[in-house]
Amino acid sequence: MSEGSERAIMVAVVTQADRKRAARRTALLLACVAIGIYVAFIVSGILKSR
Amino acid sequence: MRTSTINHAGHGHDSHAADHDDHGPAKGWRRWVYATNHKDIGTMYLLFSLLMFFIGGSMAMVIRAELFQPGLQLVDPGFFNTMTTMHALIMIFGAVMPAFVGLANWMVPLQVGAPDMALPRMNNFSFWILPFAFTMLLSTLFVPGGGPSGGWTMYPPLVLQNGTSFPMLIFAVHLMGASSIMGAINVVVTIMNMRAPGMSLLKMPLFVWTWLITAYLLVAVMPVLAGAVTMLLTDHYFHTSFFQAAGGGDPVMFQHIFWFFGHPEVYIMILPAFGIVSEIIPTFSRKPLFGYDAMVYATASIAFLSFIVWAHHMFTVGMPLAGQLFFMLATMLISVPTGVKVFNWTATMFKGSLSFEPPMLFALSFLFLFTIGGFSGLMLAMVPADFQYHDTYFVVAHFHYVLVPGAVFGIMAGVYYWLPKWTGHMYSMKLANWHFWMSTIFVNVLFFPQHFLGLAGMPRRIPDYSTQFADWNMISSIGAFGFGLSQLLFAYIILSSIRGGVKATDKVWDGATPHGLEWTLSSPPPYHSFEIAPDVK
Repeated sequence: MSEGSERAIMVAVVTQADRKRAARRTALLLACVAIGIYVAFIVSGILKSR
Repeated sequence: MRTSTINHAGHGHDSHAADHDDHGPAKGWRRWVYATNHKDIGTMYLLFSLLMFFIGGSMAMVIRAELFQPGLQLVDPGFFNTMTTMHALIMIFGAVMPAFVGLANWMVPLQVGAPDMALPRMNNFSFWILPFAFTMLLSTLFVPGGGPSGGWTMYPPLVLQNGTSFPMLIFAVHLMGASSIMGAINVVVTIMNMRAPGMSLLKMPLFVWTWLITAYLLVAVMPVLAGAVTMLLTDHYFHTSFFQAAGGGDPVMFQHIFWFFGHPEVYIMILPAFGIVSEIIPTFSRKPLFGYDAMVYATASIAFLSFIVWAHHMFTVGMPLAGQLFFMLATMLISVPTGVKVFNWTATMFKGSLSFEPPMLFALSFLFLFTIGGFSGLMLAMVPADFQYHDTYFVVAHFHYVLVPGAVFGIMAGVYYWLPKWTGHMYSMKLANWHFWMSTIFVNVLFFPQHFLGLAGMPRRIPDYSTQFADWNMISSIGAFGFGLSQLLFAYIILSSIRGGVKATDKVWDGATPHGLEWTLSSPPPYHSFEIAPDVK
């Protein structure tokens, strides 16, 4: 395996890890949005039924 | 997809297979229980969906057998109501949605040049929730009082009168929702973070685009359903009065909340089918998709409009005139982006070099029959007309045209399109053509007469009816039995293709090359594909 292709793999691996990290952050944000919507609807139900 | 070139050096797998041969599939049951590979999880979703399709279909057979003749023949009315409720829940949450998630699992990483879904362990979890959810839901058939029978819409106060099945239904719906949200989050983050270098958003295949928009819809509306059913649960067990009029609650509020989830849910079940058809028609027309950008914007417009039309499901509960006008006109507005799509598919075929292999046949059938469902939807959008049609078989005919020759035919088209890529084997074209023609003929025999029944005033969700409706009901039931039987052929074709057959080429279809990265991989694709991201120019 040439040095060039090894470097290409390393770059790709780093990029993949960065992408995974970014993916986890986005996933966390979306999960918070989903939980927020769930809570918001229940809270609005509580406020309306008081 | 806009014209793009693909650097095949990115094919990657073969050159590095030796480095990664320890990453092959686990042996035996561990491969499936501990699965994190998107292809394995996609396969499990699709097989689970096929199983649910047959279970939900069996319930439809019970319904149509009872309605074969007027009078009560086979089942008691309570069980009939359970069958209509369970048929809907299983087909929506167990068959159609998991089938699309399965297709997304298989195809999204392959089409965006990613090695896998972004969050593989969450992917495993979101699948394995489903068998538990549906085991719980199906087990309600055996509890005292029988399964849920208040309709899939779970309207209070009727649903609160269910016995032991009620909490099981609510828990199952929560589980399905959690599974859907996790699956959707995985799709979003895979598309947003794992695309191959050079694949800008407007270079993505339409299936990926439609799934991205669908996934946002899922994240936005599944928590709404979860909130609504949580409030039902507390009304039943903790003496709250969200929806109980006796305690100052508002049962109609449930309908608003439910349909705020329910209408986008309809688009969740149809947008990925739009994406599949947008992949297939260019391939078998041997032309690029006409108006790619317009298709993307039309999909986004449909998704946006789906949030502001919910009350057209409940015109008859009463609402101010301004509300009726708003929801009527907003609903009619959806026909504009939908029309853009239908005309663009037609324009793609115009002067194309067409061939009619099974995926194209199903896509064409989708195009004609979904449009019929769209037109009857426009009829239902008109408030004065809806007062006449509401809760009749016209509505049943409408949404079955949208969901069976729409969503289900979209899934079948996708399966026939990508099955040789998945298994590495071509299926029998002759059998698939038989399956297509039987399905298309019988689906119309099944559902078209229901328009007449509805217009004549036959109410939905009843096990018995006036003798004036006998003839069309008998024809509809014959169509149902024919459609149900022809699906056995579908299962046989899939299983045969898994077991063996003529070897499929990498590109599989003559016109497939320009339309997606998946065709640059071998058939079947390597267990780990795109370990080095391909370079899309």
